[in-house]
Amino acid sequence: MKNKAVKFICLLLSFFITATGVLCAAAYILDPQNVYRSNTNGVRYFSPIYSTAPAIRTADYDCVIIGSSMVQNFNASEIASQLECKPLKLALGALEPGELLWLYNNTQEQSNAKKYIINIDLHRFAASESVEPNCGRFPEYMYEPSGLSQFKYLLGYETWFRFIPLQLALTAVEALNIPLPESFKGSFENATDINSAGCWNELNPPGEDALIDNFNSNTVVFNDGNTTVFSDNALANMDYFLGQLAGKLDSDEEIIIYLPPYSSLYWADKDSKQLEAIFALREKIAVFAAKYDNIHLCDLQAESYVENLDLYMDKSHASVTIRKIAQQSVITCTGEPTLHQIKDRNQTIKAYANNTLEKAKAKK
Amino acid sequence: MLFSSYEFIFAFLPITAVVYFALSKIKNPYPQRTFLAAASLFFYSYFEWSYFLIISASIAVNFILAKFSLGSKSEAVKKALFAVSVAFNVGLIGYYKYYDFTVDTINTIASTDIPLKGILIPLGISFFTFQQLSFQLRTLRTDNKKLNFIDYTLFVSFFPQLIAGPIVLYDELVPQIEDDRKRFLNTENLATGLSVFTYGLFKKLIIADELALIVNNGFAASNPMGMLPMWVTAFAYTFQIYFDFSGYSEMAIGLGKMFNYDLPINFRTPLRSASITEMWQRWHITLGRTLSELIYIPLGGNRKGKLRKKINLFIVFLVSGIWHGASWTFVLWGIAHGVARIIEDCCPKLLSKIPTFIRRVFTFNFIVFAFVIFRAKSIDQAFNIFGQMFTVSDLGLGNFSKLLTNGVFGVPNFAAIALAFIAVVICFAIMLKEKSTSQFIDELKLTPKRAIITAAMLAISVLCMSRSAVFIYFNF
Repeated sequence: MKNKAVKFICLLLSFFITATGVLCAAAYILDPQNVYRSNTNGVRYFSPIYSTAPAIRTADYDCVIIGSSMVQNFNASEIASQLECKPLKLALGALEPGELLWLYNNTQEQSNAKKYIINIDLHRFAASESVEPNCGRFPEYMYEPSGLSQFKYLLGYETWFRFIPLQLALTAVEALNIPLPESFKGSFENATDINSAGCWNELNPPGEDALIDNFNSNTVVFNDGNTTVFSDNALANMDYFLGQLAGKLDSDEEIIIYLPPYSSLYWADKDSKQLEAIFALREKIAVFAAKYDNIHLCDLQAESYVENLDLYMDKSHASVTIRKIAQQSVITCTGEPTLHQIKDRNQTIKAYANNTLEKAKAKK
Repeated sequence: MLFSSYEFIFAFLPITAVVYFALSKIKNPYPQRTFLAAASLFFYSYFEWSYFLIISASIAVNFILAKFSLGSKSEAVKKALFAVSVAFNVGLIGYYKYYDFTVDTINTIASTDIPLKGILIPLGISFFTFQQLSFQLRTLRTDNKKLNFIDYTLFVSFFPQLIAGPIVLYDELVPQIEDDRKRFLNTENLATGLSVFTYGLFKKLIIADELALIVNNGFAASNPMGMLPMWVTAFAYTFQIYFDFSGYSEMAIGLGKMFNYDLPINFRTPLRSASITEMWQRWHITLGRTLSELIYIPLGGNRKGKLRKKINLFIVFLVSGIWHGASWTFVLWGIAHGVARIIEDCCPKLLSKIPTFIRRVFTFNFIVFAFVIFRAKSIDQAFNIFGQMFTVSDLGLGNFSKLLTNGVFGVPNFAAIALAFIAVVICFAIMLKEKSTSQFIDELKLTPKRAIITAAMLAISVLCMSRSAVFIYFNF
């Protein structure tokens, strides 16, 4: 009986060690999310949450676009041809300031990028939580796949129950020329280019009537922080955040801070206190950018087209027309508005908000 | 440290086992026992260092009180010391677990504004407190004056049972600790322990954690999901909590076995019970017997008439609900089980005339409904879910994809419907076919085929460890 038990334990352990060894080797060779090497042949990026960290380390780039859904649809190849650079987009919907700093710090440490386009969503500074760099929704182990932490990838649930089976299934479906059912397409990202990961459908905006109806009925399409109450430390959070950006910046590097063109509905949805808080944050950024030659502010929040609700998907997400204008503005941005100009623009935004509120009231 | 974590499986467990059995070479057993107690306290403190102070204080105070009690010849002194120990243990658990709940209730009733403390509840406090209360009761009654600090510390802190049971009695574990034959490596026990541990790990990581997705989405839904998704959610939670907790208990029993200790069985396929009375003889068995020993019997049990028995039963179930957590949902869950248990006690003959199959179906559904209350954030939410479960006009067939989304990967609705029903059917099949822990151990044959199956289960479990969630009973 004793021998039987010894044999049982030896067999169990040797089979277990062999099985896990084979699984680790297979995950290393297949490397389904490019954690170990850049492999552009047939790799699919299922979610920016998982593809972002490896891309920082393994992709070839000298320009980084970091931000939320506001930059997710920026076209990397158009930016590449106009700026003559190799851009990498690190975008995730509703990116928190702490997550943004985390991505920024990692690109600073692990790449030679010279140009940073950073999208800031000001309402995300409202919460009382700190904005210190943190990996947030990004799996930390993917940033430094060394030592024991890499086993979370090699023997990871996502790797073995998501990435590898989906990758193999999709490759097989394509090889056999089987059309993927339409209902599957919207269920997960299936980008074969890292810069397409996380893109959302910006075609066919619902139009002004539908948006105002949604607004009047309080139907939330995207969570854009419309219920946010700004905390006292929003300004302190912004100070800390900007300090972190500037603190890591070399003289030969450049940052463009991009304030995206939300629709006038977005502004109409804020009460006067929230508006004042956001305006204060905008002014703070303008003062900050003016201090540096290599930090520029691209502010599109007071542009006249934000009142044209036919060009918006919801309160903050614009259609392809505005995305193209915004992208061009970012590419050509060299200077920044003065504090005086920002204050004027704040008043313009307030006027847009009031006009839109009137429109919404009239339609009720 | 979780049993289902890399740190535990690849570092803590092998290192502890190797050092523990290496120390068996020393003739004096105390270095070995001291090491196991220290390793267990390290295991516990790994979650949060301040836990070490709490459990150490709890062990020290209980040990000192017991030592004085055992040394005293006066019954009055013994009773006084017992009262102090009850006050201490109930005070400890009361402060950490129920302070905020009590204050919040007072604030609501009396419209006061007493600040809450937001106290972090130490893991397993309900378990080790009940274990020590049971020990104090034994101290009051026993003539055996032998009590050693290291053995006592090991009895309370032995890592397999420390955080979520099984709740072990002093007379179950300490004689085993003192048994010198159990000090040495026993390959049969090691092999059996590994198999039982892996079986529990697989249940937790593959079944319970997979069901967690449906449960979390179903209970977190802000808009009504409809009848069928809510039935699936309710079933899924019952299976989740069962596979999670029974899996944990089996892991604990397996770990105990590896170190040559037999821990009590906690589950005997309870979801196949034909009555609530039977269910409580098969679900969380060690809690049931501890409550019986600490509350039911001291209250008079069934010795003081039929009415008093029913009142005692009700009190036991009420305490059971409160023991699970500081929330009205747990109280209501306990009351529901208490009422059901009393009804069964009132008409045993009538119930026995109902075919077993029907009683099983009814009992299972009662368990499911009660667990909806148990899992809900509030009683309002529980009744909202019940409402949805019986709204035939809204089947909710279009909402299944919301049940299976994890925020990263979605599933098309038709596939989600299929997956959800397959999951429920598989769980039912396992529930009907599953062996109880004791059956599993008794029938276990250490064959090469079993070794390979166990190794495969272990390897698959390891693949799921990166998303491992905390055991549900860690919250209680």
